[in-house]
Amino acid sequence: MKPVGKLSTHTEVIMNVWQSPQISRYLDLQNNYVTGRIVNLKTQMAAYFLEKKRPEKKFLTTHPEKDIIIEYPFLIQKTPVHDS
Amino acid sequence: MLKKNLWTILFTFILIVISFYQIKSIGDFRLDDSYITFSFSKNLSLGNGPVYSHDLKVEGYSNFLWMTLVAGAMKIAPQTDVYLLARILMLPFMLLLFGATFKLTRSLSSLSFFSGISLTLLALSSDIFAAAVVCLETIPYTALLILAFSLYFEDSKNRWTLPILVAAALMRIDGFIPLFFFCAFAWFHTNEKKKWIIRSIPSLLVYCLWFMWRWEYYGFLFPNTYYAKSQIHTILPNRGYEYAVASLKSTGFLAALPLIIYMIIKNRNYKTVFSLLFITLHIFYVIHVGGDWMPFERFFIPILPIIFSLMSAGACEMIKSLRNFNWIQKSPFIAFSLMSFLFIGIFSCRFFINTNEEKGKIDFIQLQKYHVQINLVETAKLFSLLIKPGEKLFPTMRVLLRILQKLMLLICGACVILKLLTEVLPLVFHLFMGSHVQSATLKNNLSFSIQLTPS
Repeated sequence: MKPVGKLSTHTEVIMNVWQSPQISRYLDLQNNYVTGRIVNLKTQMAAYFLEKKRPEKKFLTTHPEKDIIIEYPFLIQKTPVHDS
Repeated sequence: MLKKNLWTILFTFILIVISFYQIKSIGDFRLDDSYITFSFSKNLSLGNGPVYSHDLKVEGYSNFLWMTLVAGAMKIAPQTDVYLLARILMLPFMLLLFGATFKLTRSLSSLSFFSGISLTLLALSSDIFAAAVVCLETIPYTALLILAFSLYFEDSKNRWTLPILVAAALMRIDGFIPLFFFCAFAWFHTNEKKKWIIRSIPSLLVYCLWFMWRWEYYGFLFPNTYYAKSQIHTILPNRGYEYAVASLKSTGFLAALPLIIYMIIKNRNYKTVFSLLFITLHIFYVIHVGGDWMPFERFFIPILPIIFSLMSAGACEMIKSLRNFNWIQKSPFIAFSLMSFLFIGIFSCRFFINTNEEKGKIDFIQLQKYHVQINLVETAKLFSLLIKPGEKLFPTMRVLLRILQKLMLLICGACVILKLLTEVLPLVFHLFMGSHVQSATLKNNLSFSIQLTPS
């Protein structure tokens, strides 16, 4: 559990995983995984996690309970490009 | 008789008081590694097999027998806190450890008073109680090991030594080291070698069957924990050596050396040789595998009772050899023995914090308490909202690994068959049927060898 703003990038989260450089050799945590966090709004504490990218999964923000948010804060959302 | 009983009662009372102090001062110390083992136990007790999670067949534990025992307790009382169950299970093993250490010292020294000293040192060791409170396999493994050694020292032909060592090897994966060490030593020591081999086959067969079962079930030769730690050598090449030095500093074991050396000089029988060889082998093994991160010298606990027993037996030998001396002549030696015991007792017990290493250890225990009870237990509650039973955050690689493993075996097999068909068989034909068979491969082989021959 860490304060909500404690980790600010995907790489920072990966570096907090034990033996992540070794694991990344096989799983490529940087490119194949996204960072998610479960936030307790009351305490402003968050549990960070890594989740594998897969086509059927949409990484959307959800509210499973009151004062609890599950979100993917560092996911780069692809925005449609408009021709000027 | 009454006087002897009174001493025994008083001594037992002192041991109980020290033990209560140790347990109270360590407190509710839990480790995440224990919870990993308990996860396997829970699945086993629910009938899902020894798996970590739904469909996640990875050998993430290295304490099969302990995991199974906890699973049994969970089956009987599924609603009870697993840590409470494990601590109840730990109690008989603690008593066994004390009883076995008493027997071990008794088999090395002739006076039971010195067995009492061994037990006091054991009770003063905070590391032993920390290991018991966290509920990993360390204490059950050590208890079985010391029981097996004490039986072997009492009677080198005891039939129970090997089965107990097999149980110890099932309790902890690296228990195969004392098992094979004992087999080699006992085989060299015995005069009835053939009989010894026949007698040990059933026990070793049980171990081999278990090893083959886990290899087949999980698909890997060693547990996952071995592969996870195999990178430690690359990242921290001196960790094993540093671990050994830090353990020596925080426990003060150098003070045991003079008495142990005296014991070996005075009493060079198979028991002392066995003990010394095992201690040396174990220390080298711990340094080789890179020690451990847990703050209670976990990897050195199995040799602690042997060190205490050898030390007490050394003091006993020293006092026996001074029988014809007067008290003034005896007193420096007695004072030296007492000082050694006091030194180790004070260094081992957390009541006296003597070194930075010991202080670091106690701080680390506090940190782990916070990490497990606040961080992990709270996080687990939150994660139950994210992952429903049967779901995963990432699909397992296991299926892919198994396919790759089988593919590799298939390719290797095909290569061997191809080699046989193209090279070995024509040569065999050539040898048996003279020069009638001249295959292209053979011609190639010959021309290749001609090219290699210097002109």
